[in-house]
Amino acid sequence: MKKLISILTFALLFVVACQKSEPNTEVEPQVEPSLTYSQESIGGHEAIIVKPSSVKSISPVVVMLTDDLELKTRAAEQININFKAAEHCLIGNYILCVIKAEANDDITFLSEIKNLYPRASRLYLLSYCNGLAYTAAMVMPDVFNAYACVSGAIEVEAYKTNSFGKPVSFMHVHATDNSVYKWNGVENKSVSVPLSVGAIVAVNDCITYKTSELLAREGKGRVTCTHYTGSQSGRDVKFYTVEGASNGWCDGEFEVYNQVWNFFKAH
Amino acid sequence: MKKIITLFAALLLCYVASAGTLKTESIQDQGLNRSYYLYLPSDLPADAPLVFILHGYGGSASSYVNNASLTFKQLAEEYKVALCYPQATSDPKGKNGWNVYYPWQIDAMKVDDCEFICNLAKHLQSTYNLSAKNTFLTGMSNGGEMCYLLAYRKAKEFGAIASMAGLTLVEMAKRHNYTEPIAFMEVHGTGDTTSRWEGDATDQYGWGAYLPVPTAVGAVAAGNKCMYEEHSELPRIKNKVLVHHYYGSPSGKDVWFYEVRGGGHNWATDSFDSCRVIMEFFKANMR
Repeated sequence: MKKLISILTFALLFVVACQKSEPNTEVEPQVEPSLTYSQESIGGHEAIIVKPSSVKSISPVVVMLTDDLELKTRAAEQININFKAAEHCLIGNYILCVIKAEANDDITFLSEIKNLYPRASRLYLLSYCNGLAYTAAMVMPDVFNAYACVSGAIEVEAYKTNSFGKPVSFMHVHATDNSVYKWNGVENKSVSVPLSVGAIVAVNDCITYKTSELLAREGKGRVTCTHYTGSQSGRDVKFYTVEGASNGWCDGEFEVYNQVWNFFKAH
Repeated sequence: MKKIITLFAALLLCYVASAGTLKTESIQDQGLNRSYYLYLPSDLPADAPLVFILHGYGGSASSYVNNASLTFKQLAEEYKVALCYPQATSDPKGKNGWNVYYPWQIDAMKVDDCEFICNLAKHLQSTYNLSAKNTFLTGMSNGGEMCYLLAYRKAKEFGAIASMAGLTLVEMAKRHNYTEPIAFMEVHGTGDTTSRWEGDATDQYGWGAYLPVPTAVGAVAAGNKCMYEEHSELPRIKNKVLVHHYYGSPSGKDVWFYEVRGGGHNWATDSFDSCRVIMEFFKANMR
């Protein structure tokens, strides 16, 4: 009798367990991640905010400064910012705040950017085709978690009146034959690219570096990455050199958006 | 016979070329008797420039005075500058060395060689009526390290500084910042196995951690706020010599970086006339 009760108990438990483990046949509908765009004015500058649908208020914010920002009509449903750069928000799940700014604009309004995104876990600054990331590194080294400059360099005017005083994590991407921000500098406009990077390496007191070569794409220029490390503050510098004449993102040569985002993410 | 005449003529030329006066002197500094050689060329005008030449680790001032491949004495006659070859003291390892924060020198070595050089400069300027504005410094290896340390600490005292195979120890960068612009030159062999081009972040080779040479030079250029650069190559004699020139700083003080491809731990005199290049660099920075 005792045996029979035990068998019945086990059988009952087994049935209950099977019922519990039965797969849920109701599948959540897959929402295709998408981007929303909005147009704002930040510090008196035109701005486009790109948000992935999955973004949260604590998501990181990447502020991008560029003069290459043209808003087209809503009817055309197109916003003429670099689409790939915007699209990358989906991968990184960050908010992209693209602000129209010229090379020698006053960017002190950026020191208040935290007020716009009070819950953002991280703030990053990227300047595209200008040296405003360097200017910001000089005048507001504590506002952003990391800074990046693609196809720009220290602006001479800004360098005359400001200096680097605190270590910052910094990334620079540049093509050696860039005709606007020339590698060796442009008199009264931009500082040489190696000297720009060297100024950050110096203020950070990086004591060592390692250079690696990225896998070359067919028909494209060689890309090398020099990583300066070993500073007491832990702030590092990454310098991507692209052989060739690209004056833009250099995205034909390597996965620049991934590299920028990965650098930001690491800080 | 022809050979003897040639040799005699060469010796005579050397004698004529360095017909100045070589003095052995000493001063008291920081409680120590510090010796040095002073070379005063013939017909040295008043307020003439003064050039310090610092020897390397374990070396001596006398070896530099008598080194035939270092043509500073002949050049001093030509450029009308006084030369001073100071002698380093014995460091805690028992070797003649300038105190540049090598690991065994930190704490144990009390002498401040930067102060000594500056005190000696003042003494010579006043004793021999030499120019306080146009006092220059060069040095090799440990003497090159002194060039960086003095650029950090006493830039105002020198018109220009030229380091041969010198290094920036991490300890220097930790303790000091470049606060004054300085006209600076570095000559360095990429194949130097003593003062390595690529630096030594982990003190693998025993001199203490030090910066990669391009980073060290870049720090001086950054301290000066040099804005632009240009590159050239010297006519080839032995090793290829690439010249990197950083300029456009608000102070007008440039940085010159001679990269001797495959060059070793030396004055690179077999690849270019480095002593003359240094003297020309000093001349260009006379105030």
